[in-house]
Amino acid sequence: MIEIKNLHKTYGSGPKAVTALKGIDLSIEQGMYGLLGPNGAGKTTLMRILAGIVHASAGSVWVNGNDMKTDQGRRQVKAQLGYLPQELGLYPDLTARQFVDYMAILKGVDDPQLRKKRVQAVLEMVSLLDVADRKIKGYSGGMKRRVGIAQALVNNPRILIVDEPTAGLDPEERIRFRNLLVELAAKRFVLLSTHIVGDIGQTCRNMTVLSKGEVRYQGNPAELTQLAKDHVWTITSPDGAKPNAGLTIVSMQHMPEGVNYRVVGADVGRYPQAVQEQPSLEDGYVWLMK
Amino acid sequence: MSRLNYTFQAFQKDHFWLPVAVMGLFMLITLLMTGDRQYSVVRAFLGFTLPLLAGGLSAYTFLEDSALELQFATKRPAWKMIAERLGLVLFVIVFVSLTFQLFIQLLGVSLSPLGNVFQRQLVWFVPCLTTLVLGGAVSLMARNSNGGMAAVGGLWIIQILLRGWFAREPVWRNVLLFYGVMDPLGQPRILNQITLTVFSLLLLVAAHTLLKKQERYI
Repeated sequence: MIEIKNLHKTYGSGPKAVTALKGIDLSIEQGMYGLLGPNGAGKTTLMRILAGIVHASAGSVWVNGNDMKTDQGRRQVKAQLGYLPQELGLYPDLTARQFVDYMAILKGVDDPQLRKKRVQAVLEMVSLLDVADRKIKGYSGGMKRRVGIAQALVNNPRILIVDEPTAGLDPEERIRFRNLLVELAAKRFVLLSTHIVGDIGQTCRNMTVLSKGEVRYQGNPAELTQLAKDHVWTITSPDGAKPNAGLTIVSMQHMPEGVNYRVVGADVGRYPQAVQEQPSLEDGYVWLMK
Repeated sequence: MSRLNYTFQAFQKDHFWLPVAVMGLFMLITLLMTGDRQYSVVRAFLGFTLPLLAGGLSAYTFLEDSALELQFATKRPAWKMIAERLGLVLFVIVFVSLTFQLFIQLLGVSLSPLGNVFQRQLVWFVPCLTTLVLGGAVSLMARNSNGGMAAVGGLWIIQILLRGWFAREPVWRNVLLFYGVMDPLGQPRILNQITLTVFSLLLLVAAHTLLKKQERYI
C-alpha cells in the first residue's frame, strides 16, 4: 500500500522557489496505477519522491510500510524498486547485457548465477536478446528505451515506477510493453506516468490526474470518461472554419464534405449540425482540464 | 570486482588515458634530460603535476554520469559511491606514479633526495589525496564538474605562483600542496602532511553529506 498525505514539494527558496506539489493525498493499492497530466504537472517529482530520490518538503509518504522521510525507509523501498526515469541515461560503451548486469549488481543481485538468469530473462522479455552483446551506442531510441525497461525489471521488483515508458517505442512494442506491465501488476505495485491517455485507459484500474501540482481527478478511467458525457460532438465545417473558442478541438479530419472536428465543450448551440458522440477517455481528460 | 570493472568501463575509461599520456610525456622529457635536470623533471611530475591530474579527474567523476538517476534509485549508500569513484581515480594515479618511479629507477636516476621509499611516496600521495577529494567535493557543492576543476586549478595555480611565500610562512606552509616536495626531508613537512590529510578527511565528510542530497544533482 502506498499512502501519501498532504504532500508538498518546493524546489529552492525565496522569490525563486518553485512549488511542484501542493497538498497531494493519494492511496494506492497493489496493481496498476496511472498518473496522467500535462507537462509541469508534478508527475515526475511525485515519481522521484516515491523512488526515494527526492525528499518531500512537507507531508508524509509511506510505501509498503516504509516512511520515506527516513534514510532507512528510503533504502528499504529502493531495495524493492524498479525505476525507469523519463530522461533515461545509459552508458553507451557498455553492451545491453553488461548494462543490465551492472544495474543488477547495484541493486544487490549478488549471486552471479541468479543474476545471469535474470539478465537473460529480462532481455528476452524486451526482445533484445539477439542484440544484447552490441554496444548501446549503436541502438535506436526504442531499443535504448527497452534497455531501460529491462534494467527496471532485473531485480524482480515489488514496486515498479515507470515514467513515460512507451515514449519512442513503435506501436507493436508499445502494446507488448503495456501487456507486460499489466502481467507484472498482478503481484506488484506498478505506477505508470504518461502523457499518452490511451496507455492508461488500456491498462490501469485506477488513476490520478495531476495539474499544476494538485490532484484534479482520482478514480477509475471509466468514470473519467463519463465526465465528458453529453459534451462530445462532431461538427462538420464545409469551409473548414474552426469551431469557436469555447470548444476544444480533440481531433480533425479532412473529408470530401468538409472538415470533421471532434470537439469537447458545454455549448454547441451555434452549430446546429453538431452530432453528439460517445466520449472516450481522452475526451474525459480534455473536459476535466478545460 | 565486476562492479568496479563496470564502473571503470562505463564512464572512467577516458580518465585512465589522460594521466598515462601525461606520464608518457614526462618520461620522454626525462629521457631527453641529463644529470640534475632529470631529477627536476621527476620532482615536477610527482610533486606538482600528479596532484593537478588527481583533482581534475575527480572533479568529473560524479556528475558526468549519464545514468546518475538510475544509480540514485538503487539502495547503494552514498559512501560506497564516493569510495568507488574516488577510489578508481586514486587507483589510476597510484598506478601512474608507481610506473613512473619504476621507469626512473630503471634509468638510474636517484630519488634519494625525496627521502626513503616511504617518505617519497608521501611526497606525492598526500597532495594528490587532497586535490582528489577537493575536486570531488567542490563539484558536488557547485553541482557542476567545471566548478570542481576550477577550484582545483585555481588553488594549484595560486600555490604554484606563491609557493615561496607559502613555504616561508610557518602557518600557511601547512596548507601548501607542494611543501612535501619542496622540503622533503625537513621536519615541517610532517605537520604539512598531517594538515593536508585532515583537510582531505573533512572534505570527504562534506562530499558524503552533499552526495546524500541526491535531488541536487538530477
